[in-house]
Amino acid sequence: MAFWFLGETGWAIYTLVLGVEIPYPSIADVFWLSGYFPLFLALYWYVKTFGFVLSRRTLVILMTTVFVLSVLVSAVLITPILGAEEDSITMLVDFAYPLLDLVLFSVAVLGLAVFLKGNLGKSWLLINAGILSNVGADILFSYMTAQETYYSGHPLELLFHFGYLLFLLAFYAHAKEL
Amino acid sequence: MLMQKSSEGAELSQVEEQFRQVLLEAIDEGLLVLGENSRKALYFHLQNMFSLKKEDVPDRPEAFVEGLKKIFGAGAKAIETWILKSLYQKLGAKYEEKKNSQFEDYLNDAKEIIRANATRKA
Repeated sequence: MAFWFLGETGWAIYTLVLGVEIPYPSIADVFWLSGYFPLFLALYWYVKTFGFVLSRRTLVILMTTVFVLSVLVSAVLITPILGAEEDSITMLVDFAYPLLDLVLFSVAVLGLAVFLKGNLGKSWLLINAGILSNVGADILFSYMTAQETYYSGHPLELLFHFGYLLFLLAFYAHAKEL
Repeated sequence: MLMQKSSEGAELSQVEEQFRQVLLEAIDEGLLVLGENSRKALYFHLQNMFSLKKEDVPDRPEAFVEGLKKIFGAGAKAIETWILKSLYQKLGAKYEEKKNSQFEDYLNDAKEIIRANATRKA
């Protein structure tokens, strides 16, 4: 989350302080993309501790769902991104955001399955909602960037803000329980 | 006859006492997987929501399990497993998961192990 805060700060400096058009990818993207790894590890370690209570059937169903979602997201993005005249790093970043969101989702959904029927389930529901909000936002962001229709302050950014709010509520709900 | 009954009673209460002590230690150790702060928070919630103090768990294991389920959902099973592994390890036995066995069943088995150990020593 600290990395994402730095990403937002970088973005704000470009927009509010420097007043320049934000390059893409920029230093803000470096922070945002870096933020996925500690968040993934935190979720993974948490879920790994409890994960053995899930049945093989549940695991297969959930992982198949995530795989299908990943294929769908890639299918939605592949034509506009490859069709756009972007360099390979930009294309990589376009794909990276939504796919890394789905990697987070693949772990978070297991956490939801473990804790759903308990009070901690609320917290995991909110984490999953936050991640899905980011999935939607990042798909739209990548799509619109490829189409060159994205601008700073675009309404799609609301989805990122909802994502942050949902994470905030999730951490609050969790801290209330444990 | 009277002396034999009194000695059996003493042995029984010794078994109970040892069981309580070992179980409380196992619960403490098992819950430490969550971290010290979370363990404290869990004891606090159990007392608040179920009027269950840590010391009462050996007498009301079903309330303890109910409390864990209320907080952790299916994850409660993982916590039960950590506690039981720690408990059986303390008794020098190996924890093995049995189909359809509940937390209370494992505790009864643990009592039997303590009783058997006590008889062997005697």
